[in-house]
Amino acid sequence: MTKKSLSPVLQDLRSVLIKELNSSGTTNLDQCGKLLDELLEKVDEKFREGASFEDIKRVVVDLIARKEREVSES
Amino acid sequence: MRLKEVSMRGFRAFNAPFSFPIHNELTIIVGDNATGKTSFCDAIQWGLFGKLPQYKDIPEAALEDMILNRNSPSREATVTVTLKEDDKASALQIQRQVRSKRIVKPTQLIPPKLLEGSEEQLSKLGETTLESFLTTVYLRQEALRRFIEADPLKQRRPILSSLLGIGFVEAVQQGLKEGMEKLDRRKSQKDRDLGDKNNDRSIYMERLKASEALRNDVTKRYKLGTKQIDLPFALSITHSLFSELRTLANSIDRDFQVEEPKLDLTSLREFHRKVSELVDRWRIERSQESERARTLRKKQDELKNKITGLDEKDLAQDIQNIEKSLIEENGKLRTKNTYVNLLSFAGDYLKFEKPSECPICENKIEAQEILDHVKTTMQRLEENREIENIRRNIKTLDNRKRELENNLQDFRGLKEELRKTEEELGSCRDIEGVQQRLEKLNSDLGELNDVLKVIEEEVGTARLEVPSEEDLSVIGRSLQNLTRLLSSVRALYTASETGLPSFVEQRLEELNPVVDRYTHILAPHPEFSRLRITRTEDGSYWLQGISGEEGKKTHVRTLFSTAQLNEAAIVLLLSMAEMGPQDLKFIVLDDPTQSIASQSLGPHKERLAKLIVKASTQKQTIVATMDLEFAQLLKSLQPNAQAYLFKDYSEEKGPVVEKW
Repeated sequence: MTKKSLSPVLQDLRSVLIKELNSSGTTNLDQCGKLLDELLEKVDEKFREGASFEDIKRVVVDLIARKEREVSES
Repeated sequence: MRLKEVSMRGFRAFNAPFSFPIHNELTIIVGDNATGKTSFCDAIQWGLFGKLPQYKDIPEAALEDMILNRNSPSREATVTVTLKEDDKASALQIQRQVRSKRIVKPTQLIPPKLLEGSEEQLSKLGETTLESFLTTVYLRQEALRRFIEADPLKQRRPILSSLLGIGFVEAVQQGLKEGMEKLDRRKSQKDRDLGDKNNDRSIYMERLKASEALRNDVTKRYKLGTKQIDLPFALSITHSLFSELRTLANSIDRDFQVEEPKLDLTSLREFHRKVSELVDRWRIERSQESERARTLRKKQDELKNKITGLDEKDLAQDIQNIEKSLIEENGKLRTKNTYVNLLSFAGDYLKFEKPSECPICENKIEAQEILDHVKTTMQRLEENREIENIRRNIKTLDNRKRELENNLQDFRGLKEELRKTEEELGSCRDIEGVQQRLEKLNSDLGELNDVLKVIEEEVGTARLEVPSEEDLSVIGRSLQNLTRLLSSVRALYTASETGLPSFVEQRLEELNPVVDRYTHILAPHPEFSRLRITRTEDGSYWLQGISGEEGKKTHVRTLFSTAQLNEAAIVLLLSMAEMGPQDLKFIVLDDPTQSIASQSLGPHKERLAKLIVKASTQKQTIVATMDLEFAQLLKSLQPNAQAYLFKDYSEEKGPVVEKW
C-alpha cells in the first residue's frame, strides 16, 4: 500500500502519527509503522464506505485482535 | 452517486402515492407553509437513513405517528429512495416501510452495486457521518440556532468532529485504546498462564524426579533390573508379593481372613490396609511375651553366672571325703572316750580293788601300768582336750558336709531352674521368630507400599497435562510477540493522543481557506469579513469573526445578528461539506432564507442563491423554501434545476404539486 492510495484525511493522520512516533523514541518503529499502515488501510476501506464511529472503532479492535491471533499462532 | 427519485405514500403529509424525480444538481421545492415541503425533506432523510434525528427528542410512539399520515386508512407509510451512479445504467432503491407500530427493515429492490460497499454497509448509512452531516446541513431555523448557539465543547465538538474527520480519528483512537486494553488483558492472562504452566511443569518435573528415584529404589530392592515399572507390571509384582504376604500372614494367624487381592490398585490398597491392621494387632499381642522372654534371658544369664566353676561330681567327692574324715574322727572320738572312761573306771576301780585283768581287753595287766596311767591326772585332762578337738573337728566336718550338701542341692536346683528357664526361652524364641517374621512382614508391606506409591505417583503424574519445554518455549515466544504488538499498539495510541491536537489544527488550517472562499461570496457581516473555527486546549470549538483590516476578533454569537448568524452557519456548513473527510453527496436545505427579514430580494439573498447554486455544482442540492422570489432567483441562476411547486394541501391526498 502506498500513502497515495489513502484518503487525504488518513494521509494527514498518518503524517501526524508518524511524526509523533518518531519523536516518541519508540524502539520498534518499524513494527509500529507496519501496523499503522495496515490499520489505516483497513480503516480507509471503512472510511470510504462512510462507516460510523463504532464501525471504525470495531475495525481497529478487530485488526488488533487478528494481529494478536497471528502473533499467538506464529 | 446521486439521488434520482424520491417516492412516498402514507408518509407524513403524503397520503396518496407521490414520485419526485431529483435533478442531478439542484432541485427546488417551493410552497407556502403547511404544504408538505418539510415532509418532502424528511422523506429523503428517512428513506436514506431510517431516522429523523431532528425529532430525536420526540418519543418513539409519537414519532411513528409523525411518520404515518393521519388520513392513511392502512396506517402504512412507504418511502423509496432511488440512487444512481452517473456512469451506470442500473439504479439502487432503498425502501422503508412502517406498518402500524412495526417498523419494517429496508428492502433493497434492485441490488446492483452502485455504492462502493455491500448492501449491509449501505443499510448502515443511517449511522454514518452522513447522518451528522444532514443533521447539521439539513438547514432549518432551529437547527441553525442549535449549531451556532451550541455548547462549544459538548455540542459543537461532536458535530465538528464528525464533519472534519476528527471523530473518525477519535474512533481510531478509541479502537486502539480498546484493542490495547484487550491485548493488555490477554498479555496478563498469558503471563499468568505461562507462570502457571511453568509452575505445573516444575511440579511435574519434581514429581517425576521423585517418582524416578522411588522407582529406581524399588527396582533395585526387588531386583527388577532396568525393567520399566508400568502400571500392569507394578500391579503384577504387587499382587504377587501380596499373595506371598497373605500366605505368611496365614501361617502366623490361621484366623487371618483376607480374600486374594484383585489385580487393581483399589483392591491392593484395601488388602494392604487389612494386613497392616493385622500386623499392628500382632505387634501389641506379642509385646507382652517379648517382655517375659527378656526377663527369662536375664535370669538365665544370672544362673549361668552362679553355677560357673561348680561341678556336681567334685561336690559329691568332697562330701564323700568329709564323710570318711567324719568316720575317722568319730572312731578317734570313740577310742578316746573309751580310753577316758577306762581311765576313769580304772582310777575308781583302783581305789577299791585291784583288777587282775584289763576290763576292756581282758588281758592280764599290771596294776602298776594302770597306775601309771591313772597317776597322771594331767594326762587324762589332756586326753579330754583331744576329745574336744576331735569333737570340734567332727562338728566342723559336719558343718562343711551340710554346707556341701546344701550347695549340691542348690546346684541341682539351679540346674533344674536353668533347664526350665532355657526350656521356657526355647518357647520364647518361637515367639521372637514370629515377631521377626512380623517385622519382615511389615517391612514387606512398607516396600509394597512404596511400589504402590510408585504406581500412584506415575499414574498421577501421567494424568497431569503439562506442556513440554517446546510448548513452553512456543508460549514464551508468543508472549514476546504479544508484548511487542502491545508495545506497538500502545505507541500508536499514545501517538494518536498526543497527535490529535496537531491533526485538528491541520484540518482546521485546511478548512479555513474554504471558509474564507464561501465567506467572501456570502459576506454575512460587513465588518468581520472572515470566519474562523478555533480549538482550545480543552477541546472546545469556537466560531470567531475576524475583521479584515484590523484583524479584530469576535465570537459570532456576540456581534452577529440572527440573519448574519444563519449566513455564517451556511458558510461554515457548506465549507465543511466540501472539506468533509468523506465524499458527501447531498445537501438538503430547508428554508435557508427563513431568518432573513426582508422577503424581497436583497444582496444577502442574491449572494446566498449564488452560493447555493455554486455549491450545487459540487454537491447535489435540494432546497425547500417558502420564498417564491428566492426560488425564482435560484431557478434563474440554474435554469435546468428541477422545481416543484407545492401550491396547496389536500387532506385526502396530501400536497397539491406541480412542476414549476
